[in-house]
Amino acid sequence: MKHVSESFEPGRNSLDRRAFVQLAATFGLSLSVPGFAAKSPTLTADELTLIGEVSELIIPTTDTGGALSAGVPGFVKMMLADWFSAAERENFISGMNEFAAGALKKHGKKFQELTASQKDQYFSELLTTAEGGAPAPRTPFVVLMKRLTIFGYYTSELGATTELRQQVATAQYEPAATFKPGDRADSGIPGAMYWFNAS
Amino acid sequence: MSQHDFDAIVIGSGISGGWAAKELTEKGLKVLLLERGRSITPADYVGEHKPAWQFPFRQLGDRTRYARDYPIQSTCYAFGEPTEQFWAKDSEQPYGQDPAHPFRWIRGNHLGGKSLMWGRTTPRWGPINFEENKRDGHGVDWPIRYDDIRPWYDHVEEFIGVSGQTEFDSPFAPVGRFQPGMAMNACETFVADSIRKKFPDRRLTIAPSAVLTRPLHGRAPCHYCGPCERGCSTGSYFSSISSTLPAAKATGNLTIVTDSVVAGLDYDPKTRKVSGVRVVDQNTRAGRRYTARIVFLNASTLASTQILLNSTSESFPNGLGNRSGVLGHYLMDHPYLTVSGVIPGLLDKYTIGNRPAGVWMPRFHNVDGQTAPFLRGFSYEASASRANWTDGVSMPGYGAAL
Repeated sequence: MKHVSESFEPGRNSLDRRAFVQLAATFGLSLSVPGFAAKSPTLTADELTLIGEVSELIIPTTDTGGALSAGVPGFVKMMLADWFSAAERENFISGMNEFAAGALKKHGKKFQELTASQKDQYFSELLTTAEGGAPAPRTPFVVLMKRLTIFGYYTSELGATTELRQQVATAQYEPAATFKPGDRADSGIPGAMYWFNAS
Repeated sequence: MSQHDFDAIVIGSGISGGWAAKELTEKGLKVLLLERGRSITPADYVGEHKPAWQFPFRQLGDRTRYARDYPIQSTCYAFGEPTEQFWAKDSEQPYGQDPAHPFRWIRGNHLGGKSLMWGRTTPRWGPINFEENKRDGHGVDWPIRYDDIRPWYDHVEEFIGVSGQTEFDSPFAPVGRFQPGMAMNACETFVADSIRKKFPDRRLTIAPSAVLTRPLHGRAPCHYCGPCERGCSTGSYFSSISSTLPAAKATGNLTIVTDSVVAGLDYDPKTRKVSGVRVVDQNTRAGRRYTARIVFLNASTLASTQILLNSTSESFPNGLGNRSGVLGHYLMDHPYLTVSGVIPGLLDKYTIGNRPAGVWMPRFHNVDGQTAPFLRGFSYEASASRANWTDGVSMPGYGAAL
């Protein structure tokens, strides 16, 4: 196979890989990033703790940081306040309340106060039921949490650069590089539009 | 040019307007280029190389605002949080349309126009495309043939830089003056080989694409970041900003006036020529009139039609060039269908870099006479990529096992 890399010519105006990393770094620094100022607090501190604990069950800390280290609760808070529609927000909140009430009913304790194995078992049963049955008219809380956690984690700096391998501007194109078990996967989808279903 | 402001006025700075400005200034004409939108420089490519976590909505975009301000523009694949600054707001520039026959009018009102966000796939037409009106009787036989256009294809391809394959010379897509093509990835090669074995007349190849693989006129080859529509600070894909406008400026003959919306063209019945271009400043609403010996209308299919329809006079009460009443009718969108699938395997292969050119299969129907149960034909554009983390959403389970 003919590789483009063979035909790559470093010329007067071409940039090598290092120059590109520097260029990208300069861009990153010079761009102002709008803050995630929440319009109105939609989640209490207690609820954010619950969301954090659920997210960490979905993507736990391993040899790389987990959902909490990646700031998933803050991402969920932002999405709920500024991205979800009113109906989607209401579905999420009522699902979260049912999730909390269910734990209290089953164990006589708040979810946050359960042992690690009780938390895992409680969440596991709900997720297995939700993913095993027919699609519900409104997405269950545990499934929404799974989507939000995966999206929030892999689009965070930690998830995209530590857990995955980020390729900003490689200067060369290798069309059929070898991928070995244990290699970090690409953080890709460089395109403009991601996809997310909150309904 | 004593009685005129300029030798020529070019209306619009997109792909054709940039080219008109370049050709005219290089021939020594003093040219005014009018652009309805704001100026753009590479410093405006604010989304370029920016990772997901630096966008407020992680590239999902503010969908409430998009639904209000960009309901039509946001249907374009290239629209999104990294690129939203390049699209016209539908809420500020609404247009009427027949609900039974909707038309997605994608607009980029800024210097460079849609050349900043375009798809970059640039195949040639082949000899058959120029003769088919005559062959099947649909439409009027054109007075030009491929051989008339071929030198111009050469001229344009060599200047803008088109990379593409040079092995397969399709009757519908002749090999042009291409830079070396980008490579197909492992999955695309697998599919291409399978198709070639089963259908010797059909070829899946890298698509001719206006993205450089060699340096050209001070522009660097592609650095494979991927999403060209965010803008390219190295000018590696063709746009007016990267290519034609710098060449026109270098002649010293170009004057660019931005933020000037053309309200209409004045027609002089004595000379039977356009005698002036009336503009309105989009910010101050001040009116102004420019004159030139010749006027090039390059405002895009619909905006050029709009200007002609707005240019009424005693000689042309229904709009300039509209004595037939046909102007603005019989518009056809670019129809396409999308299909996707999963090819299992090839788990030991991936790509380094994000290639901004797709693969394609030129038309293969009705090549030698009428062989398919429909007229003419179609081509395929495609690309393959390795499955990634987004699949995790639809996989069952959680935790380290997931």
